[in-house]
Amino acid sequence: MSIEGSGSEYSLTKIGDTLLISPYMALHDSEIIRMTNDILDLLGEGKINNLIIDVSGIITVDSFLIRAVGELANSARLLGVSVVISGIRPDTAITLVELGISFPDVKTALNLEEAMKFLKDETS
Amino acid sequence: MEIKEERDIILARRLARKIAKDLDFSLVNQTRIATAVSEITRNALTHGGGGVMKIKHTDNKKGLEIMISDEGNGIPDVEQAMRNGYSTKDSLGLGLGGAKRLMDEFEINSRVGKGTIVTMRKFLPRRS
Repeated sequence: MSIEGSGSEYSLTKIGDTLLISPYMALHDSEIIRMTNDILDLLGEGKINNLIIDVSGIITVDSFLIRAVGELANSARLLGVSVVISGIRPDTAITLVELGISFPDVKTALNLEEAMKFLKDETS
Repeated sequence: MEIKEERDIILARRLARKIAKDLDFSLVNQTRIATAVSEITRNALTHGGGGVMKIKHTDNKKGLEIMISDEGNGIPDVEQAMRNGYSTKDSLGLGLGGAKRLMDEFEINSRVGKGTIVTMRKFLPRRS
């Protein structure tokens, strides 16, 4: 396991061929864009097969963040990377649905443990 | 508070959430309110060039009222903007329609060339 890097707002951890991104506080819109670009660059290096985006550290998940995360997930999948979004709370889930946002193509998991289990099952 | 830069969107929703929490809104409603504030303040910043948010309790402290105004170009066709949803990637429409669904009352006053004022309210559920 290695820490790939972190801003003051998020951590990137590599566990085998899985990359885990954990923002642990609110990110500005431009910080979100920079983070997703940094991650795509990392994915482009070809050593990552799985991506877990854990949003449990973010208190208010709004449309900008969820859209950026969704686009990151789509781009990652184009690069052949499996993506799971974990850590969405029930109140966030209700709010996002009421906002009118859905991601039919993106896998989600309740927490990190479930996310890793899902990815393990996918590869076996 | 003033909405002048990106950081203010985060501060605005934190403030709204805190006030909602102090009023004893449930967690889900706190999140609805914070998210609605995030959407509308982002609109004010991105499309309106910045603005001002005012939050106050409604009468008898039974809820809160949030007013977000900007002096931007205004929205020519509000109904059209609100009809546009996520699929058209119109962030403005998504934010407006979304915020309306999250709140109990939603009013928007927009004049081309003058600016936009959004007023929204959420009320505590009545206890029987």
